[in-house]
Amino acid sequence: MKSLYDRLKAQREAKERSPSSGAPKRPADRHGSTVTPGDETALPEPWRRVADQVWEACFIEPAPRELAVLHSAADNGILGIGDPDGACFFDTETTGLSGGAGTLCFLFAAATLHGNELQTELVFLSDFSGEPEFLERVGRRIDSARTVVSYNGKRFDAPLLTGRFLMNRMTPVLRPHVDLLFPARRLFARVLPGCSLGTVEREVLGVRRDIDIPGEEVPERYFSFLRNRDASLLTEVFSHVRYDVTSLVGLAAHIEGVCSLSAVRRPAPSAGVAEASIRAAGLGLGRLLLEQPYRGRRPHNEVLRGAGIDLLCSLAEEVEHPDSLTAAQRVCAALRRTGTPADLDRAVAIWRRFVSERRSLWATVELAKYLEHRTRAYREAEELVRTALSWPHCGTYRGGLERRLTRVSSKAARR
Amino acid sequence: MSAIDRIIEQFREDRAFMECVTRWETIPARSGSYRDIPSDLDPRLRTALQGRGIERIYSHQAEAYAAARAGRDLVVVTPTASGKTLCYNLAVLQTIIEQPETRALYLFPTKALSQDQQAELGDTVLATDIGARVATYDGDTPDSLRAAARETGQVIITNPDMLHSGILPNHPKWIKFLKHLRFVVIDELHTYRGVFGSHVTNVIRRLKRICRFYGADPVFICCSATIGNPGDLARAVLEGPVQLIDTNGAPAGERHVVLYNPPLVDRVQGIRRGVVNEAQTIALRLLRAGVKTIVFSRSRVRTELIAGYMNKTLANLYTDNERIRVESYRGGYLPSERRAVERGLRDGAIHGVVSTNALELGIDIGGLDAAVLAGFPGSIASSWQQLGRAGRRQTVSISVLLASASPLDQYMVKNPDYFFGRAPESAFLDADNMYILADHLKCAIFELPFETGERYSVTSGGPVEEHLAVLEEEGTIRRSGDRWYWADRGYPAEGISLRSATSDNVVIIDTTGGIDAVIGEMDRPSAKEMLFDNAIYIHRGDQYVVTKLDLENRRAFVERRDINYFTDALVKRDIKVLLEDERVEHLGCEVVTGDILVRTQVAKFKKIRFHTHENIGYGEISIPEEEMHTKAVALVFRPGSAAGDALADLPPALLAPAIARIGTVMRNVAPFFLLCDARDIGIAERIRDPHFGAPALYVYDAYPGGSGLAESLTAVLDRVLDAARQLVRECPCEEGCPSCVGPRDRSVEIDGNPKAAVLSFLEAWRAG
Repeated sequence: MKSLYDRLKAQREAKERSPSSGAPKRPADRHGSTVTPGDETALPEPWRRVADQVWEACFIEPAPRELAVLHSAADNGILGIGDPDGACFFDTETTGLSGGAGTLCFLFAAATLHGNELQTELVFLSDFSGEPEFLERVGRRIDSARTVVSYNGKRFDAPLLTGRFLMNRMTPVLRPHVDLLFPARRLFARVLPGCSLGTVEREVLGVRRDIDIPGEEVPERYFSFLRNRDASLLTEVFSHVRYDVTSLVGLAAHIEGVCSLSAVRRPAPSAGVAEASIRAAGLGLGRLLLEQPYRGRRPHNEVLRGAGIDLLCSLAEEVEHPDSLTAAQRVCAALRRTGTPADLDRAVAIWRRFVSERRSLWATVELAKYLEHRTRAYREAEELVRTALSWPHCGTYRGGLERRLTRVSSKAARR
Repeated sequence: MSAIDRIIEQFREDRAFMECVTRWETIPARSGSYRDIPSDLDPRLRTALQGRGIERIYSHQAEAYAAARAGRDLVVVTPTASGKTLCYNLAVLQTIIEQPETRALYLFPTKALSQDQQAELGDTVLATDIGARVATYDGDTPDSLRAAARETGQVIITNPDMLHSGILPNHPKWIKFLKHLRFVVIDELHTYRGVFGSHVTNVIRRLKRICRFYGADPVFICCSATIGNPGDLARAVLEGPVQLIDTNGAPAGERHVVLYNPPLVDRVQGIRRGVVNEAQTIALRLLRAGVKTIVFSRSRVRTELIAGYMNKTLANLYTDNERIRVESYRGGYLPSERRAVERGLRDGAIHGVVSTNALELGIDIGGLDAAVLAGFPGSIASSWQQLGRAGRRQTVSISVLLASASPLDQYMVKNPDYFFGRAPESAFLDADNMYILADHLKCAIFELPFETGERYSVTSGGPVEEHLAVLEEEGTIRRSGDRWYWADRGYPAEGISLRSATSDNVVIIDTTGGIDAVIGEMDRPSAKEMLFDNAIYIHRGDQYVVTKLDLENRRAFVERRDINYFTDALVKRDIKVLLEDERVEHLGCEVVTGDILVRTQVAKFKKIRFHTHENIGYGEISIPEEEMHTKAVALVFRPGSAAGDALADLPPALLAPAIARIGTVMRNVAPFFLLCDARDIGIAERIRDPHFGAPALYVYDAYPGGSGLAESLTAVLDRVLDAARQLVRECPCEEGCPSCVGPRDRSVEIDGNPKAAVLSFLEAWRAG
């Protein structure tokens, strides 16, 4: 009988032969030289070894030009970042992209603003055993910030880091978190082929990266480094993560810029990039302006909300525009939520126009609800629904409309 | 006199019926054994029990409560209607009342059972002011509810697959739950046997490991249907001492169990009435007498046929179908439809149900008075579970086992002593199976770095250093400091399935009238056999013709059509040797291990007329064959070897039966030595194998990629052969029975006694 080791090896080889198994082919260097743990290769300047298997580097450069926007938006910006000097723009690189307890964070980047300077700090884990020290240092960076800003960090980076802290029996450090992915989707999803940070940065901020690596290749590169201890393998990875956090600052400024510009009625054509973005973003921008954080029933920024309402209302008016119906639906929902007489009047005007000009079933139902429950104009509601039922396109709405008609008619008769 | 007593009397007096009865066994009523409601039980829980009419509890419930509260792992053997859920809910809810941070995990083998359990627990909880928060967490749970379930759910109901691939690999998200995990309930424990059980045991090992990390030490409460060795199985799954509670304290009404062989329609050829027609006749008699009845059938098609025939017979506008409602029930229906049938059975709106074994497991469908088994379900344990579906605590019940024409069914009804005397099958598993252990070790390291010298399983399980060495070489784990870390970008649980069945599904879309509506689903291999182009597919009694099977996109398009036949695919299976790893002379035969491809091909279908079941034509099917790449061992009986010569000495007419029967014996014996379930291995016999050019017997892993069982057969082959010989020699039957070589099939085996042939072959082989 063969030893267990031999049988296991045979099993693995058989699996590799089998066409049905999805086992990926390993790159050639897989079985290459493995450096024993502890045999530390030095990382080049400006890296400093700060603990066993933990390294840090710091880079200082001039802050992006748009920084002023972030400062002026500090208190009432749409993103809620607050004072930019207290924000930590961060990103991580990990050993896998699917998450789960077996995925480690090995590189942490934090960009912070100091006056006119942008400081980028990197913390790097050169082997797994150094993880507690690594996390300790990452925690320190987060701890010193008032807000953290990321791109898709709410779904990916933050839970992953929290998990790492817990698995090392450390208390996770939590700060208010602004994830730029959501506003970026609102603004760019309809105009760009994708909303990855790389795409947004290239198309919107006009950044061209010179030394870089696609994000999905990062884990494999790190595993190669672990086997070979060749620090040059990581040059692109370090550069990649620096670009990421620098772009976060630029992107945050851009989003605030677009929003504040949109609040200026009919902006002058000289406003450049941001002006073009407003036009292109249309519906998305309007929704973004309405979805700002609320404090109780009051929006964070009334002016920006007003701008969003105006933007969507004017979009709703453009009969030919493919987004006009969605814009109308969104803005009417927002107007109805506040429910002030002025807002309701605006909503009613939109519904009426959609009914008369487009025979809109959505607007018919909304208007009928309003007439029935708010103004108790049963006769008018009855007339409205009756007309809609004569339209050939009422399809799936028919049942609901018929029930409504019966109810409104009986209310009208009772009066 | 109640309806059930009347119909039993009618059957007794019906000469035609009684002529078909080969045994009528009456199991006397049993009175209950009661205990007081535990004195430490919270008044609210006590009130809730009393609200359900429970003033005292059964002895086994009291024992389970005491053991669980004392922190002892336990397994309760629970027949139908024995109040299973209280065995665990009492202890769990009481502990939640005392310490609201308490968490409990309920594991059910299927999603359907989880749903049912949530409803049941919801009732108890709602009835009181306890307000325990119960959440189902499985593949169907929407993302929006998942976070809340993790954070606030006090009882989480899930299945082993979700624990394996969803919960354990993401345990940091579950920290609040796992830190306070006090109870793990494993229901339907008997389903965790063989390869599946070995996988689940490893999932439990991983769960325990993560619990230790968070400082939790939960009590395991298991429930099992009646099997041969519930205590051993629980000890194998939990790997520690387990208290066995197998004295059932619930009362039971008198039970009549009837073995029934359908009447001969052709005495000369020995042809009997088919089970489909006979089952519907008997079930209708019961239903018309006002008796709630369940019919179990062995296939999805038969389920639809029996239900369809019954409804057709009942159809009558003027009598409102005699006010009897019969529904079919099987996997592949929409969940909402299944729930509706379950609910209808519980509240009495549905009087009869025809089901596959989908209702054999503990889904609560309320009390039923009669069960009709259209064919022997394949195992004694399964038979008793299905028969047990009829029977309540107080009233009389009847269950009828109908034999089909198969030799196995015929043996059962013709040898009632065998059927009634045989203990239910035992369940085995091997958690240290090399393949399975290796898979789960990867998952474990992904979940938590492995300390040098750490024992993967605290109570058993050998050293894992060799596994670690291979994984490191492979590059999936890495040693750093004194720990092993997961060092691969992959997510190992994703590629490891606990079950051999594929989760690949085909959705069935009804395009009648231009409206596309999803009416059901089916696993991919079955879809090839039932949803091929032009197949007649029956769904809840409605007939559809398949217009297009789009395998690539996993869709089948069907259209309503009334037609007078249904279709039945002819399935061919063949084996192709892909690679030989090793070929050795061993114990007088040639033993070859290697990789094989098991191919299942559906190339033709029959059109069968409804009711008469006559064949009215054939059709061609052209869909790619289903392939499974797996590991096998082949015993080749070459001339000149002891086994080959022993075989050659048999009379030529007995050669084929002897080889086939060696396969049957192997299937009966090998699971004891391989610690698996009979379903986990496939067996194929060849009188002249095209690859080896000699008679051969294949034993292969019925699990894609192999499960290590076939491979380990070589090591135990001499013990298997000795046991086989002893079994055949000492079996009291004359010409073969299900316990040894299988019953004689007189339609094929005309001359000679197959049992004698097998015995002489084995004796000659082992002597040679």
